[in-house]
Amino acid sequence: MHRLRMLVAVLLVGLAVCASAGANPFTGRPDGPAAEPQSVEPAFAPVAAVGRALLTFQREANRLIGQHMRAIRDGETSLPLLIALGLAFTYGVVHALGPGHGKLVVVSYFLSREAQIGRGLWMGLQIATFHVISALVVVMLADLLLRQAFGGAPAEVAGVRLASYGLIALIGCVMLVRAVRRSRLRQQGVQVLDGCCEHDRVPGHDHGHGRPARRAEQGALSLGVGLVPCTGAVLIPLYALANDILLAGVLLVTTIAAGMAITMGALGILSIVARGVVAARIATSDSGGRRLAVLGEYGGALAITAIGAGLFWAAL
Amino acid sequence: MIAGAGAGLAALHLGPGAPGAHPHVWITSVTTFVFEDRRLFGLRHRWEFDEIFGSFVIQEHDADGNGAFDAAETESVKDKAFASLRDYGYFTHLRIDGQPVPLTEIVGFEAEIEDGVLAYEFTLSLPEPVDPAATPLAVGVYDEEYYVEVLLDQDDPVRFAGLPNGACTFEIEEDAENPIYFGMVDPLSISLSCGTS
Repeated sequence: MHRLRMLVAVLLVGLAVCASAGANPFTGRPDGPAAEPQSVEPAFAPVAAVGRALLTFQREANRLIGQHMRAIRDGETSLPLLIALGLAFTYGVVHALGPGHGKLVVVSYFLSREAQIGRGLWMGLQIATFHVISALVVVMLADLLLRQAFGGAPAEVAGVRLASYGLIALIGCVMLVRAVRRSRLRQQGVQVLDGCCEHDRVPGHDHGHGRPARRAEQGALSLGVGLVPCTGAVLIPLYALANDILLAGVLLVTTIAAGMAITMGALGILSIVARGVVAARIATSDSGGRRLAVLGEYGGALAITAIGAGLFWAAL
Repeated sequence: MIAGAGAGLAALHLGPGAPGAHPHVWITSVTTFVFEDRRLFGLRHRWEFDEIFGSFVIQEHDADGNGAFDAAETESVKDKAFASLRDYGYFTHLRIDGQPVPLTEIVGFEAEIEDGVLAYEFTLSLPEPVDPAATPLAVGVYDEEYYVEVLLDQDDPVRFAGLPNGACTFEIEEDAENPIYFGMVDPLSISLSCGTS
């Protein structure tokens, strides 16, 4: 555990050191000019329709939030702020529905771990909290250090991305190592106890329970996912700063994050429930249940490692 | 089974570049087709930005804060908030006779602030002039990655310069053949029809 902490610390220190542009087209492309345009298959029509509706909403929300922030600056405090907060919350819910790796991590994690429903929502809140902190730190850094570096660039600081993706890959590896160690112990006939339930210490009791979700593991993953603030979460406080309404900006970002927490949390809960349903179907025998637990453990660990490592590689 | 689903989901998203929920920047575009002797020489874009992103660029580059960009400030905008769009083909997807033609040469670049709104104006030169009466031609203005959502101006998206009135007409259609953003969006394509003189 100590070594893990050291690694995380090293990764986090890395943030402060490197600062170059990332995926923002106005600041440059990390991997040089685009190759031939890739052809994309059309999405399933209803999905595309929902996707387009969400795009329309985000466009309007962005416009209206900007408009109401100007009204707040001009001194009409209460009503525009309320409207802007409502918009920001919905924007958060909708924005988090868009494609992103965070959701994959949450789903993979809860498919691989046995967890209580509340844990799903808790993880959504954790991610959102890290998101806000990270966004505000980035905005302050932008204001203090990166004034000349243009960009929206602060949101795309490569170091932050690398740390975030590295952390996700690292936790995936830790999960994998734990899964392997558990399998070995089981082969050696050692009772594997995880503190999943009260009858844990009963001799000979190793039926189909999955690996329980650990707080530290989940917290670190949330940090990994939340560490890269979305550009929207950075642009809004910057706009607030430009208009001298920083407090409103902080409120707005927090509200956006709360909206995102709802979406992420709902996804976590859905995964927990899905796992439970599958487990109940399959686990009629002890061995069936155990096989599911082991499969889930390896599958989730592999998926999280692959997501983290793949993104890390792409961001290098 | 869960392993398979997890790995499948992961593979789906591990293409080049980190996927993120987009867009973050909105542009309203007006495109002028610039002609000489009935031949198309270039495309002049006027792009207006949404106020949140626009304000960010203004803050960064309007050094004296007078609400206008002078020559040096314009140069700074061009260097730091425009030049890199070259790697994205300036979001301009020109097809001549169905074949994509990359545009890399910029003629002139202006950045202005009007009522707090940031606008860029610049011209993309065609590698070789084209006669649209003889060769079919279509232009899409969009960011495939959808970091930026480009909208065509609602009232006046397309103009012509250097042509007699009515010599060319345009049509805007959804290009369902080349969807972008996870296949959810059919980008708009502007095609010209021009009479032979």
